[in-house]
Amino acid sequence: MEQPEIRILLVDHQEMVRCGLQRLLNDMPQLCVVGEACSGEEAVQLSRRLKPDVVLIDVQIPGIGGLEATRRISRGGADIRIVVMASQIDDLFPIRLLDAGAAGYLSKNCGIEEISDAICVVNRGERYISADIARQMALSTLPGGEQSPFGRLSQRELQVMLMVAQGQSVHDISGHLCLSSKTISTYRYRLYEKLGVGNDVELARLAIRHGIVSIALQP
Amino acid sequence: MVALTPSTQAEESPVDILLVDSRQLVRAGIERVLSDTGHLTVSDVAANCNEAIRLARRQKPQIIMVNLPGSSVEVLDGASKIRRQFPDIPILVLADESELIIQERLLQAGVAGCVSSLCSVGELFTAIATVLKGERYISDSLARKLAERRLPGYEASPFDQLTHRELQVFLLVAEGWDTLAIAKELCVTRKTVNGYRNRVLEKLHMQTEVELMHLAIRHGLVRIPGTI
Repeated sequence: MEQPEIRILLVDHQEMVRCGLQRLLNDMPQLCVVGEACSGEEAVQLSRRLKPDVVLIDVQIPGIGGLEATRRISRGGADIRIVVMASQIDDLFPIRLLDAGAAGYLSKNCGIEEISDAICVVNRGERYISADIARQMALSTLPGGEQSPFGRLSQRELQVMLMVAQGQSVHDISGHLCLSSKTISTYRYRLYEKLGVGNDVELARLAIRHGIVSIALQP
Repeated sequence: MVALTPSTQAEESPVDILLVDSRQLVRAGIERVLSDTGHLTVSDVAANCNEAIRLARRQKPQIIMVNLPGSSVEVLDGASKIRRQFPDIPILVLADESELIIQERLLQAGVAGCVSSLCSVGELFTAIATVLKGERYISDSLARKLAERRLPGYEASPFDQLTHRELQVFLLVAEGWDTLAIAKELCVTRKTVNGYRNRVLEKLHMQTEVELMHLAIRHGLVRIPGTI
């Protein structure tokens, strides 16, 4: 007995990539792209209307973005499996996306065969995580690789970290906290060590990635 | 879809394009769209601009197409480097729309065409056909934005006043590189890097490197993985 085709909604912001992937996927037996979207909002709308079996979605899409779209589609109630594709692998993001309801997560550095495998696996109700991402996730859950390195900071260290990550100078921070510049620098180096970063900018980027600091809207 | 003029393309072998993109899946997608036209083909793929230069030395493509997400400085430096090595091969860059300063500097560096990475397949074909004829192509939206900047009363971008080197140092600092790493990358001393960094801080009226990073992110010049 022939198995029914897996109906796919393809979401990517680059039209040339979407168009090529659609043709490559349609060449695969069993796979059929039934719709295409270029933003998070459109992905949510089309999922409701088309009720695909699988949504293949790039995480870095305009509008509400891949994470929020994943959350809304998975909460939509329909039995839709979501496979997320990422251009840049980040150790924090897979967990957030899987929590949001994604069934699969893979790097855009995979081949079309792996995408096809992932779609079939999640369509059976299982999870699929590509090897490179699985490795990163596994490493981050080992001892010493706790979820948030910020949990290990003392109150004072946290305070200094926040001020550095917001772009304040050592001079300003020492003024605000009534501590010498030397003491602030000692805190900074301790922070570098605890957070595994090499400079203030890396520290700020880590804080932004963890959602502890947001991008300053005004200089 | 915009097809190349039949007179020049009929009976001829397809146009060789060297595609620069770090992601296998994206390369596969673009390759399929180009090869389906019948007159375009991806003859080689490279994950970065240095690899592209190596490949182009071995077999010269007719166009080099650069589609690198994430790092503006990589695109700017990489495309400029390719241009210097192969001044006669047209380079077409797919760049993020928000990065006006990067697109402008790319054109100044001699890149043949600059289109939005979100452009339609039709526009991509037009851009390829245009640069192949030896002409330059910029997307309508980019042309409009660049023209607007020439008008009186237009608020200048804070980055306009940065020299090429200063812009490079600014972007690398914003990506979290330390002084030593920047010095090695640019083949200059640490003291020189510090000089550039201090001038950037002064020109942009910033106090700290972290402030520079926030500014770069706000202007879409730098992205942090895992955030949207």
